[in-house]
Amino acid sequence: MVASETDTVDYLTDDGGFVDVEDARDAALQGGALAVFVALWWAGAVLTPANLLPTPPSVASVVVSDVANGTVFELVWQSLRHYIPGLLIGSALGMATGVLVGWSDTAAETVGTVAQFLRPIPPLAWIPFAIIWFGLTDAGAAFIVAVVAFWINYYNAESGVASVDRELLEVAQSLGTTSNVRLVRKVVLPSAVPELITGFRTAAGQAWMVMVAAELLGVAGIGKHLWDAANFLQMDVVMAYMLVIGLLFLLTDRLIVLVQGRVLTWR
Amino acid sequence: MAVDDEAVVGDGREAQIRLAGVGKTYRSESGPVRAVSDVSFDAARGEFVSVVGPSGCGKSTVFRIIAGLETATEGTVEVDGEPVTGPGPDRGMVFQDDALFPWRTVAGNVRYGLEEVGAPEGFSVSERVDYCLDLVGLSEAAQQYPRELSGGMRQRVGIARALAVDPPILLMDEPFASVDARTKSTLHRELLDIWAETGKTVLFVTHDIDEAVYLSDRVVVFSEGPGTVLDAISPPVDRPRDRTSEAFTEAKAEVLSYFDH
Repeated sequence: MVASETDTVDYLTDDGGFVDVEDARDAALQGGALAVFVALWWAGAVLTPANLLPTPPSVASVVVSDVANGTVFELVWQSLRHYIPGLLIGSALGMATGVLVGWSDTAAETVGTVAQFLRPIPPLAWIPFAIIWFGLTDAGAAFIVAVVAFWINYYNAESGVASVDRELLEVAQSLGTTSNVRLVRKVVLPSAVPELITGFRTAAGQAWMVMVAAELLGVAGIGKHLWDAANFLQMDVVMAYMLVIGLLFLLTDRLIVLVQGRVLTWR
Repeated sequence: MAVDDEAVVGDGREAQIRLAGVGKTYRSESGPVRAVSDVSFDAARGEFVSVVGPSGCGKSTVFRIIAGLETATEGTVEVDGEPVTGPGPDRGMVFQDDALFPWRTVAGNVRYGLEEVGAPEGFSVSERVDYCLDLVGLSEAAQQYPRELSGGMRQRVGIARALAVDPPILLMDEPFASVDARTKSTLHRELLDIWAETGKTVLFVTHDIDEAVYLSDRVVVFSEGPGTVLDAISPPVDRPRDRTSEAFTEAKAEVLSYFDH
């Protein structure tokens, strides 16, 4: 995604006219693909027994009425109440631990070793502990989201820090940067920013997925609403909120890419 | 070949860099590897000294030892009479692949050392940045990022960054090895101008004999690995040097004679 944007910039500097052709072709392809997808979905819904797959119009009417009466916004808000704290806290802890393990050999041998044991545990396996520790609350769901965000950010930060160009560290030392803390702050962190952002972006996406699963146990939000609807076989509602989640994922991702473009002007 | 002590030690000026019996042996899985052996030479204050030798002769190892990035396993390395214990702002470094901070602008790179150790006497930080950029002819590019620059420009930034904290010594490891020939000869003239203006002691590592003879007061010739000093030659050619002159060609031939066998 980043690469394609850089390409667009190149086209602009080379030849302004070329960009319009490219954009028009992209838009046609994207619109066409979506239209084919909806058509196939519709055909599938009509050709299969009722209740297996809702039709696009029935899903659309759920979306329209829930937007009109505000249900969608209320549910999104409920989900955000554990999505945002979980993502931020998990990411911050993951980045900090990853930077530490990537930079310090001692931390790699100690904290890093423990991490290798804990890493393979599926985040959802923490749900029993989330319930015991936090109950069926926003904090419990946020905890599950934080576990997911922690690991993704941890690994990206660790590899970003471990792959810092040695020569840059040597140059910094020759220019008077002596303390470890200062080397990390002035060289290691800035050079690892691309990996840190990539980690955060991946985590932000994964967090939406796991959040829905975490809500299935009963914490209010989109996931729980989706599950309740499924119990009454309201598959049009289920499908509508699947699309809402997809849209939220997309919006979050675009937002982070936007920030990334601002932060990484040097790339 | 016996080492001619008179030539190696220089012309009697105060030695700023002094290597005595320096050796370096690396541990490797297949046993110890000797990179350099019994290297002794001096560089006087304000002198331009090149170290030439074939690739793998350990000249970069010597550079890294003087820079304080590696420690010698034998012998002593002194800068201004003090043993080298690590890298420091008294020795500016310029590498072959520029090693600029990609997230900093040209001015930001030059400013780095000033943020760490402050500006030299008589300068504010921004004055010093401007001065150094002017010295390398990059005032116009101050706000550009390294990726936007050509290889030659990036090397100029590297030189300006090293000079910013006003180190008495400039250590350069094949700084022009990856720029094209035209840019290279421009950079040679610019480097000599900067050297003349700032009076730095320059230690310049290269495998390019023409470059070494063109730039240097003295050319220290290394043998093939494990590297040791074969000779130190002072090209008897007046500055500015004419690459086509007979004296220049003869000086090059003298250096080359150590490798043609």
